[in-house]
Amino acid sequence: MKNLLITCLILAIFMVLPLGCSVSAQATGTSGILQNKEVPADVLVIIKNADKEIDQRIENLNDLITRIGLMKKISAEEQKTLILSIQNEINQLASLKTKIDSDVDLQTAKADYQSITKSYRIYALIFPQISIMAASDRVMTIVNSMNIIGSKIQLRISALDGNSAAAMNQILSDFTAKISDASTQANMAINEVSLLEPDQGDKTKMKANATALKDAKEKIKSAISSLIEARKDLGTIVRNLKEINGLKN
Amino acid sequence: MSITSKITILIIIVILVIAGIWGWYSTSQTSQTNITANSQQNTQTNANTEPEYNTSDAALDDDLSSIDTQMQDLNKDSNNIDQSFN
Repeated sequence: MKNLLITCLILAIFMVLPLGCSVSAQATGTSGILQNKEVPADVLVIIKNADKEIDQRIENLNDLITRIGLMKKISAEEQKTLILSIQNEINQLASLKTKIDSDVDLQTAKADYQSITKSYRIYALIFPQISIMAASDRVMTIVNSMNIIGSKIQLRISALDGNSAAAMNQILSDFTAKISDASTQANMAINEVSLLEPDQGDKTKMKANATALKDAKEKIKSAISSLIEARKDLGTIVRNLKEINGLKN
Repeated sequence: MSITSKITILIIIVILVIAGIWGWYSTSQTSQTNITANSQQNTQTNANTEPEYNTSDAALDDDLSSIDTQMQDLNKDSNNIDQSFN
């Protein structure tokens, strides 16, 4: 019994020992590296700012991944591709952060800091690209919901007498045109940005990407305006239907 | 009773036991298949069931309220687009 206890104790020590070493290594982390080197104060400031900027970008990119997961009209395959490209960007930014954290030379630190914006232009593409796709997806979802309400209203109108029905149908027709326009604009915006690729320093491509993103943004704004108008139409029709219902009762 | 008769009776008993087990097994399998099929059918029916198609004033109000919530989310998406271009 005593031998068994001793054996268990030895085994437990061997199991816990590597864990303790690991925790100790993690605890030293970046600050440990910095403390062991003589890092000038101005370099430390650059490192601090760079870390902050990179952390913010990674946080924004993770938010985009979450948003992609909520998309309803974008195919699972497209979602997977987008998430992979974002994950790749996050990994690259994390590597850059590690490199900057180990910088001791001012010029190197400055160059690395500048590379956050210069060399990682993919971020400038991904962020607006996914934001536009997310908004397009939302527009399509709202269009779907509005179509369902539209068919309900159509049923109510079909039960009305001629004059009332004609006036309502006119508004309903306008409503249908508005949501159709919103759907078209959103689809065009998705098609315009979904296949964009990072420019990799190619200025022509960079310009083309910027133009496409800007144009898609305008299309989304236009789709939103159409939806706002369609929502007003819905409000008017439902209000009128209620009034007619009230007169009947 | 002769040895041959005893062996014959033993074989019959064994055959009856095996047949009984086989019968019970196949009955339980069929029952299991039916349960699974029913369950799948139920699930499919539930999945295909449209939300209640209510055209009353109250239902339309609920629908409009739901649209407004989605429009608010769309507004946030629109703000995100503006931020992403800065």
